[in-house]
Amino acid sequence: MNRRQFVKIAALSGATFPLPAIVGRASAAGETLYVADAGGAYTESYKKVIYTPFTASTGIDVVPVVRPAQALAQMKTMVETQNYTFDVHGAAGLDEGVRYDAEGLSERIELPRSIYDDLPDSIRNVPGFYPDSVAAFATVYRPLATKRDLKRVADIWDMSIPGVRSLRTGGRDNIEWALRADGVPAGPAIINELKTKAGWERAFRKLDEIKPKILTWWSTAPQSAQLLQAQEIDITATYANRAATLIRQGENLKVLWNEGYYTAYGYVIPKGNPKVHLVQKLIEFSLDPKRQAALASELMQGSASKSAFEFIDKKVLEYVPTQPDNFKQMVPLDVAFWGENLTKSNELFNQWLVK
Amino acid sequence: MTDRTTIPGSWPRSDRRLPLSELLARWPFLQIAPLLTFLSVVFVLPVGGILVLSLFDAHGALTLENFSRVFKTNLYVSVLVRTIQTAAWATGICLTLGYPVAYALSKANAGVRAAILTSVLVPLWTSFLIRNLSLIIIFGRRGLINVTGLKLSWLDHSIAFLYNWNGVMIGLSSSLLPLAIITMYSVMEGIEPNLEKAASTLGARPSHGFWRVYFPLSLPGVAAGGILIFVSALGFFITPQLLGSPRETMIAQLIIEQVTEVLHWNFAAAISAMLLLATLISFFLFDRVVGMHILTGEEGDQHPSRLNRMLRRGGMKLINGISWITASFGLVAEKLTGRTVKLRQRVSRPILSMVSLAIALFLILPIFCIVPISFSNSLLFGWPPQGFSLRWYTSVLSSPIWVLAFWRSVGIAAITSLMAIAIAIPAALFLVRQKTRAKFLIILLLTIPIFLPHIITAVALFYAYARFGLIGTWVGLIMGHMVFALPYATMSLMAVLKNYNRSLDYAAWTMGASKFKTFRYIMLPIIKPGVYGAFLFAFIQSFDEVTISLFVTGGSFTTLPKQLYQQAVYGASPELAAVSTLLLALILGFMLIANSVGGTSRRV
Repeated sequence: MNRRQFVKIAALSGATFPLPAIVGRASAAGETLYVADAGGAYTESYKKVIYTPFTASTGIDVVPVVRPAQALAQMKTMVETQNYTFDVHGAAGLDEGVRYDAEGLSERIELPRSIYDDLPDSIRNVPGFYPDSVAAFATVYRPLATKRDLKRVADIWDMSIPGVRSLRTGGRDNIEWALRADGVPAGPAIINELKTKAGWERAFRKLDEIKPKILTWWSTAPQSAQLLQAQEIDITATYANRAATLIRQGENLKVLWNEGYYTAYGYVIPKGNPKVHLVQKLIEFSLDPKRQAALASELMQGSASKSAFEFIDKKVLEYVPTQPDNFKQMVPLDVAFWGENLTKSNELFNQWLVK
Repeated sequence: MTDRTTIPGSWPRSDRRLPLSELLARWPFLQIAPLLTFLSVVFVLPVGGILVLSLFDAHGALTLENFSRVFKTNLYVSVLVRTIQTAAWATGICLTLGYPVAYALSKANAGVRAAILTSVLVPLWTSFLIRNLSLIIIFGRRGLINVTGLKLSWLDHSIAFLYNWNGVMIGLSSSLLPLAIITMYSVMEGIEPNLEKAASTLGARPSHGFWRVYFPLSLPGVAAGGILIFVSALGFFITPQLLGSPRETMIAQLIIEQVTEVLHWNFAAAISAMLLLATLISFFLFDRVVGMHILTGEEGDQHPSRLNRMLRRGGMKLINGISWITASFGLVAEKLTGRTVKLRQRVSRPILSMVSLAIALFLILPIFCIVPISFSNSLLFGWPPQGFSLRWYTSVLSSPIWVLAFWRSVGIAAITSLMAIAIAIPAALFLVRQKTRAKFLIILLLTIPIFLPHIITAVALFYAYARFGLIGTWVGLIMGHMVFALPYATMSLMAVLKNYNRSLDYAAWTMGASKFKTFRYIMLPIIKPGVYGAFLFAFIQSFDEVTISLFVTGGSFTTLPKQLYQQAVYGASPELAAVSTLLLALILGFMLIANSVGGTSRRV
């Protein structure tokens, strides 16, 4: 390539991607918070409902930052070197909150009484974790393929029901699902069963039954949605809001709430972050019931704030995990138990999987 | 200028300025010094700091417990062995499929060459995030091939392309074939076409001319491509996870799980150390069986082992045998038809073109699937695209974030690849020409960043950068990207330099050319395809890199892959397809211009 060619090419690329008029945004008079949230459509909704109004009311700029889906390693490096490439980790799972606390990576703040009291008891007591949404993990299926409605998790194992199966990779969810399918009631009974070695073996024996019928073991929530949407799979267990988004786009899918579990997502502040007081303002701002409801309506997730429920868009209520009819069919995820057994369950599962 | 009156045999005193060329002639080690210094500071020291964690327990006491845990279950060893098998298969498939395409490229006329090159190069520019999705659209259970086949009754049941071994090979070869083709093509470009004619004049049949003259000369490209593909495949984990079955679980996946999910870095370091060891052994076996000399030139080992000599002789005999077998086809055809057919023209050429066409289609079809999706009105990246809208283009082109990220990525990739080439050219010269046993280790060192999970390099660099205030800086990001760009640049340059005839240099010097002028006007034009290839690979490495960028940059500093990742991590939308289509248009335009301006000259 000679120089003339290069100039032509540069001109062409300039036409496609115009050079930005403003390089970088002039920072506002106030300060800036870098929020590492879940990205994509999630960020768009948060911008609209939380970030922009927050900037308008406080003068603090909010810039969404990309983070890996699993940010534990990044949080550890940041905290240990006191170099903060973001100020708060948004959309962290309750189970991750437990890990951050155990590793001493999260900063604790005190929420005002009125906000704290408005959070469900099962999700508000992990130190350093501040929930702002409730998510459900449940069985999802395509009625056109299964030809009938699924009633319980054991139906996934029932091969008289047609449909291509897929499950999430990893120990926890498979062990939970296998024991449900084997007749153990969801909730404390499963944790009890896992107190003994026989209980673990029972779970893997049940998984042996379904292994040959699993088309693929998906690993990320968007991947499960992609597989459902491409009609590669007909039955799986995934996050209810993923199914709800697909249903809103016209996919023929149903959610079986029965025997599902719910868990929370929320904020974790990296320990030692000097901007902790600004982050606290953002967290309190986002836990306002009306804003919580607006987020729930957009993302079809449950609100952490209990009093938000009455403000949620009635059209999406059917898919909101905290809607009483849905909620009562589910159990909370035991994050304490699974936190302690994360390594064990994953190693056993991986061994079993590659066998 | 330097004093030229120095007595022969004595060297100028240090107070006189020594021309660079003489310095290099006296200490050839200086040629490789920049590469080794750079890798030591930016890779070996930081990553070594993480890997030694494998020798300690959680409380910092010395222990071998992490290693004994690797062997406690058969999980890690069996996954490690399968990872190496998978990588070896991918290498074999890519080289076998890539060779005819590279050959066709080097023999084709300008038009055909441009068409094949386009289909080989274009997929390189599509983010790996999207490439896997588009493979599902083509090869899925309800993918285009199965749906079309069933509709037209070509198939009576759908074919399971994915979620098994086939799926992994489809995924790996769609990512790695371009690498194989370009590396081999850049070597084939340098093979003197008259050599085959000369062989023919001396009475060799075309198949002898190919197998005994051309093929051995193309081997450096095969070796360089093979090593690059093998180590790249070793490090892959997303593709096997998305398109394969649990049997194809890659070791990188288990290491990453330990780093990011469980935070057991000491154990992750131990598994990584085993991966390193396993790769070292693979390299050693490759050297014993085939010989690294194919790529590096003689290693100063004047007495190769008996096994090695036997294998080399065996290899020559094998090639000889193949050439006779293929030649006999020609003889039979002549007997049958009763006239001297130029089999090569009548049969080989069409077969070669068909194979190349099929592979080109395999590479480019998934990419073109993305175009209709970018005009979809749906919120989801899916097939068939629903509705028609330009909203995703509007949202990309009107967003200063996307535009800024694009330009920043171009800048970073350009600087990264230029600097990588500046370091790689002398290093490749050293590796091809000098006789030292250390070459083997240097090549291994070069390839470690490719197959070691990037997250380990990212974590290591974060700690190192934090100490020097490099987090969130251009310099830090570019240095991080260079670690991945250097191996590709160096190896592809080595392949073209291996066949470079040094007599040309001597001839130029005899006629009074300075060493620099010889380099500039003799060597550089000849190795140009290799330099372009090296630049391309280095550029792409940086342009598609996401892990280091996620770690060492923060705040509002985004790059194009980071921005793509931001869109994909919550769920792929047609916006990703729009970005890919814009890039596609850009690259096609680029190649069109390069082709029309470049005319019939042979350029990558």
